[in-house]
Amino acid sequence: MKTIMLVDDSATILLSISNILTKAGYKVEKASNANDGLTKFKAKTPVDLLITDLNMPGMNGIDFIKEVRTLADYKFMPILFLTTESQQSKRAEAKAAGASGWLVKPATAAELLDTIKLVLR
Amino acid sequence: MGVMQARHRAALEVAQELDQVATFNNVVRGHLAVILAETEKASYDIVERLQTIWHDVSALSMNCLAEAKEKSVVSPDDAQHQKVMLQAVDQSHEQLDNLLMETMASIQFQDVTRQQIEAVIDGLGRLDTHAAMLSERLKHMDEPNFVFQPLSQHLEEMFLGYVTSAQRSSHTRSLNPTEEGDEFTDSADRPAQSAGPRPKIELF
Repeated sequence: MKTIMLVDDSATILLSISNILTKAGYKVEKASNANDGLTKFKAKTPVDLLITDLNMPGMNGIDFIKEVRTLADYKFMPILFLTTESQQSKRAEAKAAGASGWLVKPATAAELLDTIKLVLR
Repeated sequence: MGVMQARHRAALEVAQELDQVATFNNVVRGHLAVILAETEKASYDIVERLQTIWHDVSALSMNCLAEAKEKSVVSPDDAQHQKVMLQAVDQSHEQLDNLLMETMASIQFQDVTRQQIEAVIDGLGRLDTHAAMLSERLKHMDEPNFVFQPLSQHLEEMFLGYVTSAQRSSHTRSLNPTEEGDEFTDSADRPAQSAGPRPKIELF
C-alpha cells in the first residue's frame, strides 16, 4: 500500500481528501502545516507521494518542498500541489523547487486520483 | 466666522468621521469572521457526517454480500438469481462510493471561499489605513510635505495578494466593466499580457 502525506492548514480539506485517498486504497499521513510535515519527513516517515497546499500560515508550500528536497530520502519522491492558486509564476516557482505537478482547488475526486496514479506510476 | 475658519472646521468634522471608519470596518470584519468560523465548522461537520454514512453503507453492503454468498443454492435458477443480485449490490456500492467521493471533494469550495473572504478582510484593513491617513491629512491641512499612499497602490497590492483566478477576474472586471474577465487569467500576467488559459491540472 502506497503512503501519501497530505499537508493543508484546513482541517476540512485534511479530513475530506484523506477520506478520498483512504477509500482509494492509500495510507494517509496528515499534517496541518509545513513544519509538522517537515518533522514527519525528518523522522523518516515512509512516504511515496507528498500532496501539499501552497498558502499556509508560517512556512509556505514552496519553501516547504525546498526543505523536503534537501532530505536524502525524499529527493525523488513525487510532490503535488493542491491549491486555490492558479498563477503561472507560482507554478513555475513550484516546478523549480522540485514539484511534480499542480492541481487547482476544487479538484474532483476523479481528477485527484487520476493525477496521483500518473505520478506514482 | 471667516471662510478659512469654516473650511478648517469642516475639515476637522470630516476627519472625525473618517476616524470612525475603522470602527465601522471592525463591525463588518466581525461579521465576516463569524461567517468564516461558521462555514468552516459546518463544512467539517458535513464531511464527518459523510464519513459516517460512507462507513455505515460500506459495512451494510459488505454484510449483504456476505449473507447472499452464504445462502445455499438449490437450483441453477437460484444460482443465476444470486449472481445477478450480487452484481447489483456490488454495482450500487461502487456508484455510491463514487458519489460520496465526489461529494467529499466538492467540500473544497469552502477553502476557496475562505481565502476569498480573507481577501475582503484585507481590503477592509486597507480602507482603515487609508481613512486614517486622510483624517491625518485633514487635521494637518497646512503641512506641505504630507506624503500618503494612494488608494490605487492599495488596489495594486490587493491584486498581487489574490490566490484565485476568480478574484483576479472580478477585480479586473470591476476596474474595467466593459472588458470580459478571463477565468484563468493570471495576475502576474495582467489581462493585456495574458499568455492564455492555465490548465487546472499540470504535470511538470
